Amino acid sequence: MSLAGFSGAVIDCDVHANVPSLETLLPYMAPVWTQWTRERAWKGPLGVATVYPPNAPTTARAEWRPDDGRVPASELALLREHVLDAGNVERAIVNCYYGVDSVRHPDLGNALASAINDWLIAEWLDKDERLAASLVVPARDPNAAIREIERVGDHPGFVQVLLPVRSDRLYGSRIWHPMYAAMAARGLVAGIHWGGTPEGAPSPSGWPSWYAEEYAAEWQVYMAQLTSLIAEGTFQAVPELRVSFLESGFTWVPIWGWRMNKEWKGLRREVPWIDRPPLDIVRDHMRFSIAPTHGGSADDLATVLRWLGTDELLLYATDYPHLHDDDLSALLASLDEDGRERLMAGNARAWYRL
Amino acid sequence: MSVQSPALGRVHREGAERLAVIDTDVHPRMTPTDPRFNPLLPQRWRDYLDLIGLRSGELEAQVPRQRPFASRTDAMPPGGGIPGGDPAFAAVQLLDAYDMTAAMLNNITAVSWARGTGNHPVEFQFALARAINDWHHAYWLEADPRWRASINVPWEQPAEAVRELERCRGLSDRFVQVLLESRADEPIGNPRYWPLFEAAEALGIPIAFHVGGNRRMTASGTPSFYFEDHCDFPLRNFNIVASLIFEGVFDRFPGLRIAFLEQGWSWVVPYAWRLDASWRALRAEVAHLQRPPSEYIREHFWFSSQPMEEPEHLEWFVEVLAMFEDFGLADRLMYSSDYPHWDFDAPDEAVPLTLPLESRRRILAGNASALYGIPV
Repeated sequence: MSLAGFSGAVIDCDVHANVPSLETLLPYMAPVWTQWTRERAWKGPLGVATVYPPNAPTTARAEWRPDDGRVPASELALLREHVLDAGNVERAIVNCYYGVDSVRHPDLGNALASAINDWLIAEWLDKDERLAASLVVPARDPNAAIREIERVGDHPGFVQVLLPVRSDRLYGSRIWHPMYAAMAARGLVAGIHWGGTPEGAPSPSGWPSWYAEEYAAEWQVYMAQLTSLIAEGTFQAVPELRVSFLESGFTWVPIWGWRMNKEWKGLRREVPWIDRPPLDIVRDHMRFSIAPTHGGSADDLATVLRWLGTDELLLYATDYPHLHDDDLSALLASLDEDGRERLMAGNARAWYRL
Repeated sequence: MSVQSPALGRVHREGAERLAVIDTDVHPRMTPTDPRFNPLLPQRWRDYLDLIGLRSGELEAQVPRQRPFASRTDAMPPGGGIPGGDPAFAAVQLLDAYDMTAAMLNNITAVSWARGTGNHPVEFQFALARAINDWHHAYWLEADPRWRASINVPWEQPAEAVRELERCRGLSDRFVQVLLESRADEPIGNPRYWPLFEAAEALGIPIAFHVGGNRRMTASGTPSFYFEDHCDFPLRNFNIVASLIFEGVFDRFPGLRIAFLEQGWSWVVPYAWRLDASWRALRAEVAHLQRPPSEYIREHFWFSSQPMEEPEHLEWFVEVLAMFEDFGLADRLMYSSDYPHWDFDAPDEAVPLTLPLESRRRILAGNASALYGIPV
């Protein structure tokens, strides 16, 4: 793993733990689900393959795909070999996207989310003290999500709640606020992450044909979620709430913020709870992982970093085992020494209180 | 109601030179019962309107605008009617006031009525599209040589859309563009829409995208507030650009030109980086592409200015414009006012006077002149 010459401490804010197969989770579920799945020969949620097509080069770097056919990133040993022991990794935050949101059966969705969390505790958090994790919730149902947060959210290894960026209701919507209060009460960050299988197409205009097309255009749903979080007064309703955007890119953030600032000047009487320029609220309450970055030249990237207004917003991540066409050295070259340390570890340490 | 104060409008000058201005985004508006408009519909559909009425296709207006018709309050025509409804008043308040060379009529109300799908009979939507274009022709283009018009077509029914496009070009060569909503039933690069691109390319006129009142506002639900909706206008761009490029539309139609209206422009260069990165990572999937996505952007896309980007510091405006121009897009940014809407940009205020004169000339008129073939 190349760190572009960086030799300081590293906190990797987005490494994946992939569920090897449904069989892995069944021991963590009530026996009825073993019976239920075997009767139907059900192999698990379809959402994960929709979101991360299994064979796509972006789904796992070639060097991170086990030769023996094991699912990439599905065992702690692989994560250790490829990430934890390969660099100066102080902590890593494990995210598991298994497409639980694509399951419509409410009890099965709840059972799967709980099983994943118990598996994360047993097979990952308890076995390597460098790890922290995002807990998985049945993200279609805020009340069920709250119950799961109450069940495992006090475990010291969980620092975040993973929410797939595609949702049926925008994440600023008031129906989510009690869930955010439950997170904030436990110091958990809301990690809005690539994925999700809401009703209808994953774009305002139908189903993209190509994965390259969908991948590039996915900014649009992160943007809609960001605007919603600001517009609804989410951060006024739950002042302690912190939100991370993961796999979102960040070069769009200052531009999107300027537009929100401008519209706020014209329309703020409609949303009087927004008591200062929206981009300032973003800076106080949100962070962005750097995988992917998708920056232009080093000069261009330096310009975008300046527009962000502070070097405290970005969180280093590999997004292991996913592949993005990124150049970490350009990003590091755009920062001074303090900024590099903040990017690689300091920001995450403070944000996740590690 | 008083006629607008002359002080509101200003001729744009640089020393002794009058700077030409072309406004690329003006919104005419009419109601279906308007006595000038209604007779343009066939009797069958006048009867339908009497019987059923217009079921709003403008579902976006379920998020109420902050003022009637999202318009400047001073844009209510003194003689009655609605903002954008009186061609003579619009000419005074906009064209005369700012001494404009030309201005483009983009009827986004009609875009919602006549998409070619939705909760009206398709034949009614065809009739609406024809009547709208006839209204623009008879009451705007014929009345003042400075107006240009985008053609409203029921794009979800491409065969009829092509017929209407060709009919309008037969009426007047001041129909210079095709207007689509920024959301369609399928990603707009889908081959089902290609007949429209083929016709536009053959006629040498651009396809424009503007936000209108379509059904689906985001991929994850409906915004609750107009503030939110208005911030979100540009998010629809990303699927449009990706679909057109990755579906190979520009490889098939190399002469096709695309204009984004009121959709922002500062996102373009960062998005080009992302598109290129996506192409590099997944190049084998889209092996039909001849070149990196950024090259298609440089060749095929134009952008209107309003609402003008407003970074937190003026020097950042200079930077974001420089990034856009240095990327090869110096001839792609076109002034627009968005008249009669509340967030109107005046030409002498929206384009910073600190910019080099050459940049201002290009943005205010030169780039639009080249795209639409409008002499300045």
